[in-house]
Amino acid sequence: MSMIIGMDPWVFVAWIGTIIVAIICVLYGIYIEFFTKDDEKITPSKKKEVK
Amino acid sequence: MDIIFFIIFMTLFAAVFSFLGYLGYKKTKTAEDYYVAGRKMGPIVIAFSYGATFISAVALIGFSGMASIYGHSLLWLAFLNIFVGILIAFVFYGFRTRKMGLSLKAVTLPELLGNRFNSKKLQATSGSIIAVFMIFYTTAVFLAIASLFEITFGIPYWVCVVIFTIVVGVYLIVGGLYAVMWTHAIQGVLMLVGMLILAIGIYGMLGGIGPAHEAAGALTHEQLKGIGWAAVPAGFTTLTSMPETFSPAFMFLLTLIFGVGIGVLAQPQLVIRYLSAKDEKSLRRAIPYGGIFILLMTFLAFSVGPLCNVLMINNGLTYPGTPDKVVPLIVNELFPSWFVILFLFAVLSAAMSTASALFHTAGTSIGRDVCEKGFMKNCTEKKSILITRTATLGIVIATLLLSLYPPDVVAVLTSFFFGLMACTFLAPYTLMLYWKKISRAGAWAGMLGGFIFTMLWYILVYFKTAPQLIGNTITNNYMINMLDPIFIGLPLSFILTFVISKLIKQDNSEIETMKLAFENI
Repeated sequence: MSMIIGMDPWVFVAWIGTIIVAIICVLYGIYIEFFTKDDEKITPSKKKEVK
Repeated sequence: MDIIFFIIFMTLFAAVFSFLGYLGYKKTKTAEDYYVAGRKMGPIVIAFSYGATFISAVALIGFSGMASIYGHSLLWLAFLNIFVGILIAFVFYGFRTRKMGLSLKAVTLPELLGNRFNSKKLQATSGSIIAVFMIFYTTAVFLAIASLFEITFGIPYWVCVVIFTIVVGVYLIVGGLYAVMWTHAIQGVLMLVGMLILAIGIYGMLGGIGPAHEAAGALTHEQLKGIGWAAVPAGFTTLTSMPETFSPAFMFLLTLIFGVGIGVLAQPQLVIRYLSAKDEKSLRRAIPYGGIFILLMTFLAFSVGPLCNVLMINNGLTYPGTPDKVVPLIVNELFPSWFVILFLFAVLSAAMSTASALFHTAGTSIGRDVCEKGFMKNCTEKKSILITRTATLGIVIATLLLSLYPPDVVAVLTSFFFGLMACTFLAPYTLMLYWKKISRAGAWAGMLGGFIFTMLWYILVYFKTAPQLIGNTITNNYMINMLDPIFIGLPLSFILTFVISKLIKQDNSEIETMKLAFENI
């Protein structure tokens, strides 16, 4: 079986997949930081709680 | 010399954490402050606290030791840790949980369930389940770390247990979730530094990523037996290849990867982190920090585990008997003494951060969910905090006693904590967030059905627990014995929740709370 960086293809997919998903997390953070507005204003409900 | 280092570092640890506990105490004015840090936490603290709670000493030492036997295949768990444990968890659960928690004024997972379904009994029952199993889980965390310190520093086991429990107990009870999350940030940094140096050191000794993996992949079964492996797992191929499909080694990995990888979604101690966020943007901004943190923890831990075998062969070391001792052995033998101390305190940080989060969640479950909401009426905020502080003290003392006189069942109960929480809470929790028609009866059915099935599976069938609890398993088919209950218990819990909700509809009070719950969503 051919090896990639010393790992079999399925193990390599896990290895590179972990790195890619971490990069996606970082890209998501960059998107949120620089391309979205801070527009949320949620407050605790004023409605009476149901007993 | 070692003991002097221990005393210096431990004193420093205790001083810094006690100070943070004091700051937390000064900042804690309301019950919300104590339970969810006033819902004021920013992204970095949330991410580090989530990560440090998630990654315990067991994950760093125990799972990297597992990787030394099962190889790099365990990296699938690191993948799920980030993909499910961070991305899916925050995006599909975190934001909604926070919004719903705010609408329903809930500060714990049981309270979220209780308020959503307008049932204090549901809250008290789920709080009790969480508290009981968390005590055992926390005990196991202390058992592991105290044993490690006993071996390294020669300090009696009971002294380690007493010191660790007192340090964590003091800052937690006094400072509430503020202190817990701030200490997590410091502990998280220490864990990051420790793991980074460990990984760079090991890859450096083996000539880089490619050569290190090739060297691990080239080890034969005979070489591995030669360094002291008791046996090569059936179906094992090499340290850098997947095991044979559906072999015992494959089934073991499957169960570990999915049990922990999916189970993370319904961990009560992690749900509290969502509720502590000051706004949705903070939760969103926590995602990259969380992703990087987990990458540098589990990905590195599972990557270096298999490489330890190469280092043992290259340096004439023998396998230390159990997987838990593999990484400590390599650190002790091949790294400078300053790093040995640093690494041990990184592992201690991992243990303390998880333990403090578990203590806080278990204490809150007993104090808030069981006592206050179950038995008391019209509780003031001051009284609420006092009850939970007292309950937390009780949990700390119970854990201390269990750690000093650990029954055999502790290790067994720990191994199924993640799966049990997932099978019990994930279905009602998920459907509660996304399905407006879920009913109280459906939530009860899903929760108790998942709980009872999982307990029975662990007692009667599961290969790691059944032999220790009843002497044997009721079937000899390893494909069934090695299957994590999450594969059956979780779908069963979802089906029960859905079907019973369809059969027994919401009453008027449930419809009102449902409208309240979705007010901000």
